[in-house]
Amino acid sequence: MKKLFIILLAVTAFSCQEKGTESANEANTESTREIKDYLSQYKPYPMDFDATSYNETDRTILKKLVEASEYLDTIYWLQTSKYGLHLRDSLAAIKDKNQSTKDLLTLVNRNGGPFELLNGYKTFIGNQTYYPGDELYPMA
Amino acid sequence: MTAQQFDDYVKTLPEEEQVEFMYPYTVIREDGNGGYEAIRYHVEYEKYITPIVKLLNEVADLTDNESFAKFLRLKAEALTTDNYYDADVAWIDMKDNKFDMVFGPFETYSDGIKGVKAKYEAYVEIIDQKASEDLKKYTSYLSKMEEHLPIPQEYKSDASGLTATFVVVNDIIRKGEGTVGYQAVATNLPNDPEVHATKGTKKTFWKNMLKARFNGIIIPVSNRLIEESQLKYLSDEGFFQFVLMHEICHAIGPRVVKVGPNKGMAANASIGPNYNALEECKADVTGLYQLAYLMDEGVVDKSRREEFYVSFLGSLFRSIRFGLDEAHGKAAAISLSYMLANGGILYDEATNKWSIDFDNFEEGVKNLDGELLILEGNGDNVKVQEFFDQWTKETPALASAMKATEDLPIDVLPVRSIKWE
Ligand SMILES: [Zn+2]
Repeated sequence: MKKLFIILLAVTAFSCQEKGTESANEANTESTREIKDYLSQYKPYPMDFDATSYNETDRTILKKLVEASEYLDTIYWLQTSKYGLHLRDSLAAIKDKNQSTKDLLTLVNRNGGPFELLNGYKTFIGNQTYYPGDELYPMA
Repeated sequence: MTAQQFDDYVKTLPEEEQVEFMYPYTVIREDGNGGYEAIRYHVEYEKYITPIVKLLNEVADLTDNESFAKFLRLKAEALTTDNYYDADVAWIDMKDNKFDMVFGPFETYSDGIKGVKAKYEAYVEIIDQKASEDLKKYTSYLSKMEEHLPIPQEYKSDASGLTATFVVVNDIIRKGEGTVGYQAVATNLPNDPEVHATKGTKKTFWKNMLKARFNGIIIPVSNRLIEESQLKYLSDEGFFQFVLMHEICHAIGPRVVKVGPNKGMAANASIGPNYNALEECKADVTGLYQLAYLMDEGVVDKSRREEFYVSFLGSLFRSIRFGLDEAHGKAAAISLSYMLANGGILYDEATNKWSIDFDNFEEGVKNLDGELLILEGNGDNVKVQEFFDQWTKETPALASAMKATEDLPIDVLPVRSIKWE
């Protein structure tokens, strides 16, 4: 777990400090395999929607509903893992993401936080351990 | 905060405050004086609720479907009060719209302290009119299907008053809790018992996610475990048809104990924790049994028989991967082992491949269904446990099936895109 925290800090710093990624990659072979194992549980599946056959009003309706859903999404993250939200945004903000950054971002998004839901809430990134009640109750 | 701390604190409060602490739509925070307070979601998350409300009201102005507009306005209002009753009723009452949505705080299963707090989820959906019409046709057979069940008359129920609202949709995006964990293919909402009592519920089928599950997860598992000559029958439409029947058939069969000392008691209360796996298996097998009936009646195209049965078999190999301690895993094990022993399903040990025995499958389904329905109707957990001990064992055949697929993906990772112009 600690190793992955290092990789995150390193890749977060990547934009301003070039050599960060190298040391992170060396330090993280083992954890990278863990990430790959978790990712291999999920089959990427394209789900495309073509809205072009709808008239303008309907498209506006759908766009607004999608936009409303984005706000709702933020509420979900605030309910679930503020730290996870921070991790997600830090990973997403990295320019020219390498594969392990992309993989981490995929996993953080798929789990709504730093804990692997299909594997008993095991931490896969960062230094927190799962706490029941998420952000709905006081942490301590 | 632990559940114990929560309980100890809540005990000291007046009753109205206790209700707020247990309310699905409040967060618990420290109050700064050594105690706690319950804050409604719309206050805690106001910054994000405000733009949502604006957008929902804008859509209400745009749509020419009155029932949709009414739902949107009531939902917008509900999000600013956290009283959802009227919005839920308007959602069930929606008619003839192109679009539908599941939107707001609903499911409470990820609250690890008290299991009462709801997380927000959003599904924006296009209604599949044709599939929803077909479904209406099937549900109009509910009473006849109850009557047709392979059990003595004393085990049957009056299904004439049964109404169910079903809608088949394709979702264009999922957000919030809808994106995490196992991707749901159907849901039954709302969860508010008051709405259940007055309006019932609405069952939503996400057809595109069902197809994703079939093509992304069930096909690879089936390719390893189903005999080659039958692989051509695997079909996502066939699987979809089976899942519809599964869900419909949750509504028929003995919901209360029909015979014996517990007569009149709710079957789930009478049987206890084993009920979930039993009911899942009953819905599978009754679904198949009634599918055969609807084919015989000419309601469902009977040329697709093989497609339905082999696709069902494939889905069992996905379910047993959840393990024989989990309800769906148990249910799958029962179907496989029972029909392997009593006819309907074949297994070749040399190749570790399974197949449907088309000549005997419907008879096997009928026999198993009769046993399951009678177990529910008797409401005797001793008998249920005996049945489970016999048919949910990890046999060498089941163990090989699980072993052969353990490296395959267990759920889909939707990769979404929307083409707007
Ligand atoms: Zn079910």
